[in-house]
Amino acid sequence: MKPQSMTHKILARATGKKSVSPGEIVTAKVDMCFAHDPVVKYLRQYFYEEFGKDARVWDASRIALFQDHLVPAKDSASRSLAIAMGNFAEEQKIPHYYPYGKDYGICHIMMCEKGHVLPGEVVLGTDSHSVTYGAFNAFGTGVGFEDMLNVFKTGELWFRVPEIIEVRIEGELRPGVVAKDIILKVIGELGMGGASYKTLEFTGSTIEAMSAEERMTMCNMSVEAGAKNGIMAMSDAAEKYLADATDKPHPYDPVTTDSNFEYIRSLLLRAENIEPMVAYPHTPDNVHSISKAKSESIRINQVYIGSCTGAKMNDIVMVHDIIKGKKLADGLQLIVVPATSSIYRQMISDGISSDLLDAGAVIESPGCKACYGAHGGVLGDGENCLSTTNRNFRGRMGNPKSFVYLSSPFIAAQSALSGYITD
Amino acid sequence: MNKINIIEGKAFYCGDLVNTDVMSPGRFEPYESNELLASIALIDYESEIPFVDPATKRSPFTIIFAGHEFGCGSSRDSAPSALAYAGAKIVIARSFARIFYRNCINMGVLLPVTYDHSFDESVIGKNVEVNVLDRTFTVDGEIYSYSDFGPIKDIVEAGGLTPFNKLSTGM
Repeated sequence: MKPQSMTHKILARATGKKSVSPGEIVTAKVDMCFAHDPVVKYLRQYFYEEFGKDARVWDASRIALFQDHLVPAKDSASRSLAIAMGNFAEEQKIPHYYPYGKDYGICHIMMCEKGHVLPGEVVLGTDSHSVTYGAFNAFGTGVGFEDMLNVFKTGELWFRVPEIIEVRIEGELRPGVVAKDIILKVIGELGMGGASYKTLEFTGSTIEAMSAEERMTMCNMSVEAGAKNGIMAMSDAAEKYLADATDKPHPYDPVTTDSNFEYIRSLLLRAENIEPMVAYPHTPDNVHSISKAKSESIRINQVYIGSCTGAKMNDIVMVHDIIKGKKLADGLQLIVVPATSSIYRQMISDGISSDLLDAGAVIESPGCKACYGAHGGVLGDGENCLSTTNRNFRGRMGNPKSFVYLSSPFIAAQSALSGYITD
Repeated sequence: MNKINIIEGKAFYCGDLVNTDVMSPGRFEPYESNELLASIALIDYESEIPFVDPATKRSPFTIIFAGHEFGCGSSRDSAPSALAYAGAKIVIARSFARIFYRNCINMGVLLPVTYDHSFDESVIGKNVEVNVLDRTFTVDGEIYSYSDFGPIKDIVEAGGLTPFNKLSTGM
């Protein structure tokens, strides 16, 4: 048998085959999936219309439902999405339902925090950043509405088996350089379509030494290079995160890539050579080094710490380390949106919230918020935002006449103090 | 879409890396009606000639020629829906981003044809005829042939994933 990559092994296992080959179309069994508030109202409507008023989902325990995009409701139509989700959860007896309330947050971080992502499994979501789950050695990928409608009924979905690009990072990062800088650098090297339909498999000593949350940041932004999924071998940090994520230990079966597997391309980066990176408007592959950004004295009106990419506990701790005891630049607004309720709680119990508030930050409730421009943090015409999020397309944060730069939490925090992009 | 053999209409052109945020921006969520989606299709895409006519709130264009990685970014199904509700029936792109492509195929709202064409802005407004049965399109009297959909052509012919699954599994 030809050597297989970890992604191929997961897809083979999910299709009951010994092996799969790039380009082949397979129908894979889904281990876990989720849908969020923008789509569930319509999923519910079409589910009953297409499959009958008494139709049941294939396995309620393998479905999670999240309210993250349009909570708290910005208008009555948004509220109707949340109400419909509640009805669907009740009708189908879906146990992993996380409404706006005591225990909720951004779908991808919730999926990991709650232990819904396990090594060697196929995990789908109605959101492009479902690639995050490769941090835990799962095949995680985003799918559309119609895909999920059918997954809810059948528990399986067709896939084209991807080719694999290796991204190998070796060595020790310089102080102040983090996963966000690496992934921005990689996206810059590959370009936005550089990994289209392909897998980004991250290897090397830098990845092996990374925290679980930093691994999530790397995989999360794989889709910005067009990748179908991003994935890594398990590590001690990832094992520990999973052990903490759930009180009922699940058995799981991680996969590794065969040593003689042939990647279609290998990109090698030395960690020591990577400096903090900034993506300029209006694409995430328009990346430049912090040295260049500093030399251009780019004035910032708003710093946004949020999203599935840049508002995990470790991201907020990075911001806190820089901001604590300092004051924001005059006229600049710093918006901090923790990804989940549990992060929000920890910020309070660790004293982080009060330090951030003292410095002049505003802390909002968890959710996708300004990252995708629906509500909460829209910019004025000609204004600049430096954001720890994942996309800076024209209009992404709500105003096509504004400008969004992307960076690590460290750079975002330093820039919030200075008023200009800096390290 | 299998029922329609000939698609005829005016061409629009988009460049490379046109993302789903500019096709149906998040600031319009929740998208309350198909009419609203039609009216905002490609609203944040910068072009001299807008895709949607502000007077009619519909698009005069039926065929979109696009560059590489059309539909990159967010998984939102509102993006292909917006283009379709506005009046587009087919996108002929040098390449597609994968979730957008899946949405087109599985929803059956917009036919995504991958073809390494060399058109640019000058194609805008030209009359194009697509013969879906023969897999050809005609521009300025010249006939171009595109490949079939390979292993997923049954889904395309069924009109989307739901009708395909119903046909193949009897569910």
